[in-house]
Amino acid sequence: MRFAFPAALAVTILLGAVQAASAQQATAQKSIAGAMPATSDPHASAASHELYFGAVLLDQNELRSTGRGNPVYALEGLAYYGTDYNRVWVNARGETNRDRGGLERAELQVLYSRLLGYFWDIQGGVRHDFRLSPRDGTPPRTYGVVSLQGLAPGLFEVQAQAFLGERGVPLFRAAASYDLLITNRLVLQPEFEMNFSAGWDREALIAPGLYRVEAGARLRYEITREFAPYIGYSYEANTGGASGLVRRLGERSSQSTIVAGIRLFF
Amino acid sequence: MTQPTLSRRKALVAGAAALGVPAATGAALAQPRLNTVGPREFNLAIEHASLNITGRRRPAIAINRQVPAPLLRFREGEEVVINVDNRLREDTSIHWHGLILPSGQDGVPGISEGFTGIAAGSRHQYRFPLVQGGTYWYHSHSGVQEQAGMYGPLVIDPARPDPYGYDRDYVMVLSDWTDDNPMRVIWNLKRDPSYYNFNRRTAASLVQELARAPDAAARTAAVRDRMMWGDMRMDPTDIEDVTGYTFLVNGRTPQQNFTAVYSPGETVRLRFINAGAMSHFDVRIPGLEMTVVQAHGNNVRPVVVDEFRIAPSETFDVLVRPAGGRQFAILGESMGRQGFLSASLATQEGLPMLPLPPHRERPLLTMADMGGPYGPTGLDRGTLRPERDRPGQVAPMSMDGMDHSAMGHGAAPSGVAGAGMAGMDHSAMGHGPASIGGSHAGMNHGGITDSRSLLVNDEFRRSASGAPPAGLAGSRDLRVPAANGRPRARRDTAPPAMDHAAMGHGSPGTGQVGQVDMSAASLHAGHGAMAPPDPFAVNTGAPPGTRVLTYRMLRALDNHYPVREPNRIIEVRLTGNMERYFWAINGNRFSEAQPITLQLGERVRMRFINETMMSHPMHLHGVWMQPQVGNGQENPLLHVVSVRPGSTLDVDVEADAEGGWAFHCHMLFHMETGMMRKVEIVRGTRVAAR
Repeated sequence: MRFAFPAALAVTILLGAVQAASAQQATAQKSIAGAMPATSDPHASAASHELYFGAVLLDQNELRSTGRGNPVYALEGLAYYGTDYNRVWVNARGETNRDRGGLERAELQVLYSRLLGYFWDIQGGVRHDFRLSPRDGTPPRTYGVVSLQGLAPGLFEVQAQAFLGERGVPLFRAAASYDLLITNRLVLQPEFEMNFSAGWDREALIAPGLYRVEAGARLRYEITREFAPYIGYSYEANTGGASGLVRRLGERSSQSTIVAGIRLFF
Repeated sequence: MTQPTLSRRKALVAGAAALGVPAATGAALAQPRLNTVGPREFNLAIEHASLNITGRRRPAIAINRQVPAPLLRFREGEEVVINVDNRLREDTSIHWHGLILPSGQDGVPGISEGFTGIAAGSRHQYRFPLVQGGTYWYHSHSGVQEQAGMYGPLVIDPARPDPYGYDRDYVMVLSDWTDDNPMRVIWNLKRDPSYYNFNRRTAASLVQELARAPDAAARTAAVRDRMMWGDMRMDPTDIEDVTGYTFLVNGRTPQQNFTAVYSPGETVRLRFINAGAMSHFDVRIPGLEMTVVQAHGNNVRPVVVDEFRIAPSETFDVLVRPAGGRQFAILGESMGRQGFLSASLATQEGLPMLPLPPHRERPLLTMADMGGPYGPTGLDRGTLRPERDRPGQVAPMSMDGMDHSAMGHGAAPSGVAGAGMAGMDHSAMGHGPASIGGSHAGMNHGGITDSRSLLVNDEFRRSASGAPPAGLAGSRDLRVPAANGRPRARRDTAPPAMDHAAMGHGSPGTGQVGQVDMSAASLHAGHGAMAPPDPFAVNTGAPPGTRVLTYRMLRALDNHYPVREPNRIIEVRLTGNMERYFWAINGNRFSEAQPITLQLGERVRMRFINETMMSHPMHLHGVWMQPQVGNGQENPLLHVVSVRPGSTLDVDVEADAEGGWAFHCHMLFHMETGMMRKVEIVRGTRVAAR
């Protein structure tokens, strides 16, 4: 399969942080299961009572087809490891090139995540957009990230992220999704994402204002919580000045795709 | 953690464990020879084992190769020595649940004096006198070993014979078994608190509700209810955190049908012990009434019931008189209706189980469970240094953020409640009152009024019963020492919960609180009234007329503590984060919390305020808990008090045992994720007040 390699690469990136931390896991578990370390200070042992845990969610792990040409493999996911309050958080996304099969776009965020309130996390860290082919695609970019994410009233998962790159163009991203339970295992998940910029970054296909929109709806069946095949619809568009930048490259500024994939949760 | 390695020898062990050993046969390997001089010695060996409950061999932890662990039968007045061999690959511990003993023998690593656990491969000797009789149990207090099978019954024969007779005596150890690694269960709950809930409300169930609704108003109400829960970001179907359990009686599944044998005409004593890690059971024996004679190891005035709810770690002893040689099913339905435990009373062993009845309707949380106006918080928390709620540990719809001064305490009670809800809308829930106001419209404000008076029944009862009324609210402010230096400003504007006079109630000091409460309980049963729930009501979904045990029915036969005023009130708010699955006391998880410090000899009133939507059986080691149920000198002595969602409940504690004691929710995963404190009972000078 043409997308096998990039898929494996992306998964590896995603799991990296968790695996690095898993060495500590044994220690953490020991202090949980074995109660207390060999110290007579009860306060020290209380502190060691903190639980460490992690998770990996590949929310989008799918093939996208416009009905023409090769399908594209796309992945979007997250992973975290840490405590109730403090976590290392990784967001990753990427998709393959329609023609060559290699990764066309890939974005990785490595964040420190801190519990802010009952439903909210504040996060800070680094985002890197990779240029995977020296000739194709958008150039590499690195941004600092500040992010707020959580569960809004009405049970909407929301995320607001601000990015500041080395070129000084601030970006902003707002995303929301919702799990509509049709039955306890059949779940329709609409999601929506908007990207804004305060200035031009033509190489990266970024224009002032709303420059990129993604929307989709995925219907999954949770055979288990861990394994949920799905089908869905996805729409993405470069808007405003960005649509002209994209058209200049001879590409469509928007596309609709039918998607099919498997949501994975560890 | 438990490793899924299976040696041949352990597989054999498992075979024995899976068969189970009826505890009542006294087959315990731990039982020593009688007639020895000095303290009797018992030997317990803790080992990894594997257990086949569901058809799959799964790792477990056994004591003397048994799950449940062997029955320990002690005698009141003797001293015992218990040698514990830890043959696990991890630390362990044994806690003697409900026993009054020196702190150092209590078996909680890091909390009991000088005890840090029993290291892998080592031996630990417990030695303590038995100063009480009754039915108790023992279990690991390390990590999640209890869920893996490390629990067993403990019976102390009283020095004076019990004031009731019986012909047969059976221990009924109730428990919940999961094939999942218990640590894995916590992880699953952490990454998705709904992981085990496959009974959430869905679009499909909404369609059914709408189809069943008799009229347009009901349909509107159904939709509004959904929106309200969505706005709160809470789940009304969240009754049990963990599902997929197989429920056991003495280690036996319903199909394996543990049988308590009787002969017609005999009186049988059943000692129910809920050793389940996470499960409440509604216990009944269709066709038989039960006479509760003992609760939590202490004899009570016999009370006849048809069923009782038993929270994790509680024990109730009942007498039954099965007649006619029939086979009776002893049923325990889990609170969330995920399954039954089942055993039999029959004249012979080996009969097949009786067919299980259909499940009762699965309960839904209501607005009442969300907690009504709890009254003011911000009292003494019993810590030496000031303590604040940490972010994310208190549900945002709690009344904490409410402006009490704006509540208009002088107004009519229904007005108070209305103002309270509006305040909640604005300050915490982040939406306009219109979106929730509609659903209030249909609610029973009369009910609110009634039960607001119930919440605070205690002062009235005391004044009614001739104890010093002491000016109630006003005097309470004086009585509470400023022990932890928290800001007092809020208390000035917000009178304590007891301030009924200001709330415009009539003269509720009629001493009939119990009756009023019961009616309020039935008033609110099964629908979403806004009133704070009666803390003692037990709604098992039983048909009308069923006698269901509540703490109010428990009248201690021998409560040797004289009735007296508590020194102070210690606020114990039960909090936590359902979205992250961690739990806390007063907004501080165990890992970050200070101990609660009590003076030796003082009597404190712990005011439990359950700000979560789950029941929490709160267990205090070392001393008795006396829930203020209104029975005066006969208030029961309990080692655990089940605090239902949204309720406020006063429990008096005589701090008569020096040392460090664990204080925690006995839902194992609530404890493990933070709902735990150390309680230090110290001698000497007053607690430093700053």
